[in-house]
Amino acid sequence: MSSKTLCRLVGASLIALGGTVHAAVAADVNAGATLVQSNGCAGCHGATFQGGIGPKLYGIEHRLKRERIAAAIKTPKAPMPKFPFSDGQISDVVAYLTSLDGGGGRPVATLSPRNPGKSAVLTVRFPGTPPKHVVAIPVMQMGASSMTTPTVVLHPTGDPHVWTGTVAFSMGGPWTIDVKYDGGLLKLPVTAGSM
Amino acid sequence: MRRSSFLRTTIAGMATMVLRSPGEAAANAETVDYTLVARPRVFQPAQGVRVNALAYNGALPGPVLRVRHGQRVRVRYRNQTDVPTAVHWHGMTLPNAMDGAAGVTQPPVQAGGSFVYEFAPGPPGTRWYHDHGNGSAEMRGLFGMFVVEDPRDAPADVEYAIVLHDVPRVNSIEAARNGVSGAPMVDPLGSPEMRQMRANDRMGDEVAYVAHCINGASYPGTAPLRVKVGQRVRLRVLNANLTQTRYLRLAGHRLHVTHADGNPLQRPIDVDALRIGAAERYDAWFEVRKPGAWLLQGLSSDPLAFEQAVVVHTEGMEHATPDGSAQSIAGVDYFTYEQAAGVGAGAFDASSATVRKHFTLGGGEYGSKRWTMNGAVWPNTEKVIVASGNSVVVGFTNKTDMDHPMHLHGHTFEIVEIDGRSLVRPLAKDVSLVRANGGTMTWRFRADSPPGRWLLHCHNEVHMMDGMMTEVVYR
Repeated sequence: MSSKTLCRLVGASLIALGGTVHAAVAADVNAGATLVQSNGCAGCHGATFQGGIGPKLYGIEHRLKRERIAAAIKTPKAPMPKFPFSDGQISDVVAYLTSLDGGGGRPVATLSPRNPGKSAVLTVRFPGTPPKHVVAIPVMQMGASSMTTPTVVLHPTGDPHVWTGTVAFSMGGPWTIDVKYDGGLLKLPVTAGSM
Repeated sequence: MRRSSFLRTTIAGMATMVLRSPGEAAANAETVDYTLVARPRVFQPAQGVRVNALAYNGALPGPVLRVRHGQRVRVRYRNQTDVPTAVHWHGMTLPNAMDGAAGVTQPPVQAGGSFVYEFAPGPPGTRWYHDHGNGSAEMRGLFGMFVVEDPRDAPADVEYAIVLHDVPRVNSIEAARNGVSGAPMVDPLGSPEMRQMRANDRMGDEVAYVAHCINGASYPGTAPLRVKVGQRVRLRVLNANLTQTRYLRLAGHRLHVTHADGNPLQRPIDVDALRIGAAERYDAWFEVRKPGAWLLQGLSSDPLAFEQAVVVHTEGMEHATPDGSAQSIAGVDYFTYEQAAGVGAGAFDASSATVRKHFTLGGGEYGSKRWTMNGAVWPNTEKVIVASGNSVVVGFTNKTDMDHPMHLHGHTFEIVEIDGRSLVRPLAKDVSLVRANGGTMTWRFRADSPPGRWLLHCHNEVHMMDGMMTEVVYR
């Protein structure tokens, strides 16, 4: 099957409406990030969600309504499999995917390089009122337990809305960076590794 | 003597490895002739992945060899690669000179050379064959399944071979041998070494893989398994990845596990997923109760893990969206030795054994090229010296931070103890994972194989090449 055919198939799944997806009262963006990480979505959609076997997800809210994104997850078309998500979990995933580029007024975290090896520069842009204190904690989940590398205190740049610091990964694999700011939490899934 | 000669030429890369009994002529032959030719080929299992591989008869994995128990085989092997090779018949008890361990039981088959292997395959069950030239040729594609039919087995409506294998990034093998690879650890439960790590520890022992395959292709290019409602399906599963443990799960189904490494379990068990160490095999059954399409997935935390999947579908469901499983195995009931064998109250009593030998597995520090047994690396490791008929007990204590899939050539052993606890129903196997960070395991076997030198080594290819190998020597 050619890549173009695949993209058409998957693209078609994104506009196929099926079933009823109930809008969550309060979708949990961070729960969505965790679901995206644990279900291996990056395997097909790219480590930074820029597309792969599956379509680009970054900025998807500018191309599709949330209901249609939810429907594509609830009733996908092959080769995307159907996951046993509840409607609430689908809402969480949609909330996360539509926040990747800051949609919804949430902070946006970016890494440089985007596919890091042992370390990367983390930059977080905060809309609205600038935060007073920001830290980043890289976490690797291991079943019931987890491992972290040292907490990094981010510093504001010349722009008080933009904070930055260098985070480290002690091994390759799937990590989540917990960015904590003035009582808020942003989870950034990332795949690290000098593969 | 009646003979049947057939050369199976599986179409490489896209083969649906449905398993059928040999044709009537072959089934009735006393000796089955095979020809295996190892030669280079380009392997393209996934988009953007194109590697110079080696393959048996042009197929990757190699063709499934299949005989009835009691038949003999004659395998005419030709090495048309540019590296020395030998074919090891993994899990078989056979004359030592036929074992295929280059430099130990035979000289390597040099480039352009040939060798004839002739033996009676057994014990019955899901076995396999692979290169044992002590280089990385096996990692480049020289492996395949070998089924020895067991007349005692319940019949299946359909059987499939499931070979899990992966394409290594070539320069990462060398980096892993030097202990500086930095490639991801991928056990979704968190491998033991990861759980023991502190913030600034580094891992350098893993090989990086650029594609993950089932039967020669990556999802969605894998050839689907076609089944019918009401069928009882037998999967013969082999993890041919030579460094990593895999989990395998079929969405919407429990798996009924009947054999480990081809040997019947004393008590079959039902699980959500298999946990399969490098070189292990499991026979798992499921019943098709309704029309549908489901993903049979290898689970890991590797970012490319989703590639290792194949669709199982009923008739008419070719284009259906398959049900999938999360890559996480948190809360998943997966196969363990202890679950299959049952854990007893006390420690194993080895006092009745004629020969007792214990190995401490060591080495593997960051930047190290040494993986050791009692402090030494092959060929200077201590040997297990036996006489025919001896009752032998071999124990391991794993002081390293990685699991080790320890394999014994030419014998089937029983796992009788894990982490200080005896097992109620000892597991008959030929390779078994010894748990990291202080894990212990004890094997029991009788020295009743043909005399000779039988290798005993870690089946993580990197660890074996870096010294974690010894041998059982018959006096």
